[in-house]
Amino acid sequence: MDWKALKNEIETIAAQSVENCPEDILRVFEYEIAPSRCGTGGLMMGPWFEGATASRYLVPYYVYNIIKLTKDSNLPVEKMKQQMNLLLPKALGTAELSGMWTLADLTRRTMACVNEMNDKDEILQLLNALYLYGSSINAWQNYRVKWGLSAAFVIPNRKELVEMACRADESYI
Amino acid sequence: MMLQFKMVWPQLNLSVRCQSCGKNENALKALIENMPIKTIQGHEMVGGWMLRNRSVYMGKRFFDIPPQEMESECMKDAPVGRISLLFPQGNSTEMLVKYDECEDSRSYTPVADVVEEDLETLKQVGKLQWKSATRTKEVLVVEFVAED
Amino acid sequence: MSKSEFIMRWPEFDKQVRCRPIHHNRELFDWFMSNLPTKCVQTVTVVAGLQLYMQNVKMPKVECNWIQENQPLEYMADYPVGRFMFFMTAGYVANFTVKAGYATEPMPYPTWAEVADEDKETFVTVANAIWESLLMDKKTYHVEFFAAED
Repeated sequence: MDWKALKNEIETIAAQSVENCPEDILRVFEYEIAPSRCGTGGLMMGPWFEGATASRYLVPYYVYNIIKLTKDSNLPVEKMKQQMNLLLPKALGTAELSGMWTLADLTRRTMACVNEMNDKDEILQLLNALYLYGSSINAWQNYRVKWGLSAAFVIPNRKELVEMACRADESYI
Repeated sequence: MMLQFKMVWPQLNLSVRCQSCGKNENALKALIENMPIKTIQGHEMVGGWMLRNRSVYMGKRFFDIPPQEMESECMKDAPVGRISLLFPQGNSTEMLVKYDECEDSRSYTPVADVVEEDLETLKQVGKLQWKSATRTKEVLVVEFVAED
Repeated sequence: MSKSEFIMRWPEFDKQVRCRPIHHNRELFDWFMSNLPTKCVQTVTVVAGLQLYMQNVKMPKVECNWIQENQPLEYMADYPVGRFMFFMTAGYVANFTVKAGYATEPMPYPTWAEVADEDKETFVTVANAIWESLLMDKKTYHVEFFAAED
């Protein structure tokens, strides 16, 4: 596998993701379309939570930690591969099931490529590209998550409850 | 040691019998040696119709079987009634019990099956837990009890 | 070109603020300056408090050459509005925030720059507008960083 071609492909997608919201995010987080049929009972809260978690705290965070540990502690290539193969498979499975298909595809291909590579700097360059794209997915999820949903379930505080109770008679006028 | 146990939901007055599925028997043995175990019952929200126990405490025997030594199985392909572990390590594991169709394409560690005669009861519990998770928020507890 | 000031600009708002080094971590400021210009999508933190959040910032010229844990740190809840901090920065990808209101997160980070006092009002106005968008409107905003000219 040509690691440079893969790195360039990821960087091109990452660069596009600076200006434009990736299709995976629009489909799952905005339009609530789940072609993988994820979302038990057709509900989307689960895919939103797990999709967001997998694409932020699992894939990019793991990749970040591998890069950081390698740089800070001068890890050998074999340790890098060991960490990658231990940490990433479940994360990419969750990203894929939750509709983050491009991230899952790029992660899977990056893993396959890294497992064939032996030059630490080249591996770091490839992982860096994946981290950049993962960070973009993260940014766009942060943007597209329907945060306002919580405003639909406002729980009155004590002061507000007292005020509501004091004005209860107004509803009989 | 018989590799069988019961899942009991005291508030529902329901229970199902479970036995080895023939895979990862050392993992099932470790789980059974930790019984009785009590934990809050939950439901899967992404992969399909599964009961999900997110915090199964194994306080008696440390779970130290390396992941690469255990057989895994794609949940989509597993039979209804399959009981699988997720991230079993040290003192805790997650557990999933498939009670109907699933789209989950991820792999888990299969250990047991709910016996055929109890599958209807399992589905009944699954639907009640789904109702709890999505509407009533009634807290249901499950107990795992080893059977001789 | 000045080496001690950069501009943070939001093209969709046609607003910008000046940003300068603070009392410590000057080498982090210089490292960031050496990678300009750059840009990313502008988001807001939704747990720690009100901060502008830059999550996918490419540092195209010089890779990260410092270790977060070795730098002087400040607690987010304590430092002033307008201050920048880095986290999860590695290789040629930077993540950072700029505090824009109250923050409750009890964790320390390497702080390294601050919005100029005379521009803080503009900064807070923009931050609040982006928070509103993130919450409800979902309009997309970007942010650009470039070195200030003399």
